[in-house]
Amino acid sequence: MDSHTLAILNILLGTSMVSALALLGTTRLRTCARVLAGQGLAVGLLPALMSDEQFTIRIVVLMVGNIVLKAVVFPWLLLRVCRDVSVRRDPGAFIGTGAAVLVGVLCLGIAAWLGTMVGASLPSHPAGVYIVAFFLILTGLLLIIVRRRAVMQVMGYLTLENGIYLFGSCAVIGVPFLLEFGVLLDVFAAIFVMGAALRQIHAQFSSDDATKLSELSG
Amino acid sequence: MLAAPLIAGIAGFALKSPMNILRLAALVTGLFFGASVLLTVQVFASPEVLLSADRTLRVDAFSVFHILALALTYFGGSLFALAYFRHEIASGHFGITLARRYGALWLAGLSAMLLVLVSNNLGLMWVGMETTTLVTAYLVAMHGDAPAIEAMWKYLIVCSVGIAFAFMGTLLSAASAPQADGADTLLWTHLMDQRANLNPQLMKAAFVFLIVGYGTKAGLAPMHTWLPDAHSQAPAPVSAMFSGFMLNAALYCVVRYLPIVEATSPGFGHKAMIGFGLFSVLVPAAFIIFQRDAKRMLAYCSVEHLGIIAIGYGLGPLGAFAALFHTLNHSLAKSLAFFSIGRLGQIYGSNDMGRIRGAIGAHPVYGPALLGSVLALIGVAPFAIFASEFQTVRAMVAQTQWWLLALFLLGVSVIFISMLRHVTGMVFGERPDDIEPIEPHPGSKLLSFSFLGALVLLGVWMPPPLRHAIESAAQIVWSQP
Repeated sequence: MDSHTLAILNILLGTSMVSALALLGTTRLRTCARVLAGQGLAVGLLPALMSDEQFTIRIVVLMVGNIVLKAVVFPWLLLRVCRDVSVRRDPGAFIGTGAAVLVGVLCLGIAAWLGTMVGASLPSHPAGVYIVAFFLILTGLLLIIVRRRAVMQVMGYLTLENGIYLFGSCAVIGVPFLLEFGVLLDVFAAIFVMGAALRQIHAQFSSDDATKLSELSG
Repeated sequence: MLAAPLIAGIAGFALKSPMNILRLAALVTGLFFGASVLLTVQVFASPEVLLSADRTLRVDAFSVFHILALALTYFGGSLFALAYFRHEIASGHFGITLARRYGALWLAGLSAMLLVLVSNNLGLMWVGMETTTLVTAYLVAMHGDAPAIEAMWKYLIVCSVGIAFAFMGTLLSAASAPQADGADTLLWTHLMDQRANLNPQLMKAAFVFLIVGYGTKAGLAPMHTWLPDAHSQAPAPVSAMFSGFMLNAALYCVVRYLPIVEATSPGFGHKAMIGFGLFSVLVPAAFIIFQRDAKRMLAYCSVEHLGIIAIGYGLGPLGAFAALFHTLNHSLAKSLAFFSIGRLGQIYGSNDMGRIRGAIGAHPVYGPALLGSVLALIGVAPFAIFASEFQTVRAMVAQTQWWLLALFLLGVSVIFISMLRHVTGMVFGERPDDIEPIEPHPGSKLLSFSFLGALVLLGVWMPPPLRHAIESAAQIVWSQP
């Protein structure tokens, strides 16, 4: 890997990491959707840069498919849902955004430990790749747990999925094209179904506040 | 077999009557059941396993046993849906739009679950399992009321995150194999062949992700939180399908990895199965004691039974045999229990166990069927669950797992007493004045008594072909490298 590629790779890894922290620290949902688009673009470009193969049609199609879905389609869908259900901000359910960023920094420490440990047995890539992948997974989980708005939980799921995608593209060599395409299609279907569910939640509860979904218990 | 239910579901959009869509679903699942029997015969008649699509699809004794259970659950559920939704149609709650969506998603769920069972490619198996979540989510909230939508959201989010973890496990297991030959690393047969050469640390990490991920969908405690909500809010045929088979399909995915992780780290996979299984027996015991909702009680009971099955897989060949036998028995008994409570819930207008009283007089078929199915579920002889639980206990004794045995017996005893108390109240209590006895449909008699009859028959005598099928399937789980 030449020094230019390495520099671009580090910028993309840094963008992914900062985007995850920004999601934890931001309350404006429209800003969150845009940050998620940036994260989708960075995560979509990373595997192509790390690939040992030449730019085959397979790599280009998957890269473009990922970027179109994660950097354009999903954020657009989420922005539309935010507009339709008239929600602007998510102050957080259990902890505020400041505390969430602090927990995020703790997650970075855990991700560094996990990424270094697991990465040692995996195909060799710049050290930060596995760390960022685990960091995105942990941040996604954290967003699902600590945020109040259902739409923000979907953004958490997408962040988690971005982490798993990054991990998979580095850790496993030679995944069949149809399978990668199938996984992408499944994620698309998941976001589509979640979007439809969000509208139903809003229609029924006049809000997408996930903390109100607590009637069923015991 | 994979595409036919999906195509039939789409074709259902051309039909103009809800009952015709339900009849189509019953016809398709009936044919599917017939095809499953033929497939079973073919698998056991041939010395080789069936492979197709460049080894991507594969049917062996373990998968065909589960395909039979899937077909049985779906066929029974489709027949029951004819009676269940007839009353919803009459009350104006099940129009043509809803029926078309239901038919398409119900049959799409069948295709997705079959894909899980026939995939040799572990990535494709994951795609199938994720698809089951997406196509069945709407079935939970079909009627669109607030609790149902809440249940659907929890189901969607919790299971999607769980299945994402399972994908991480799938990737780690592929990464644990020598990567020289590229695409093969995701094939189950390749991992089985390479068991001796896998990276043990990565495979252990993979199994942790897999058991937590697929275990979430299987309803293993403590990841079971979505299950009581989704089961209690879904229409009864959907609840029966969820408990009767979908949970087993998720556990099937975990068990596929068991011989692989055991080859790299002996004892690790079995201990994990026993740990999660035992927790799944103990946790629902606490919730069933004070439960008031009949469907939630049955949902917690499913957590318990999936726990018993998981424990069985961790207990050697005898335990694996018991687990597979228990899978079939639980599918039969739990389907019938949900059929019964679903129909009784319609009659009483509630699933509250304080309201459902004197069910034996209110419905001469589903009242006794509820009693019979719950007695079967709590392990009363001569029902087959008694036999499979007894075999699980024997496996514990054979391995001198005394602490496990003591805690297991504590959990099942608490559930036995609690559920017996609940069901006797529902069946024999004093019927409310506003509930008139119902003349049962002959079809419901046939359906209920064939399920109950099968449970009694399997409890006293196991047909040799079934024993052979279960033994062959258990050998795959316990095969040595």
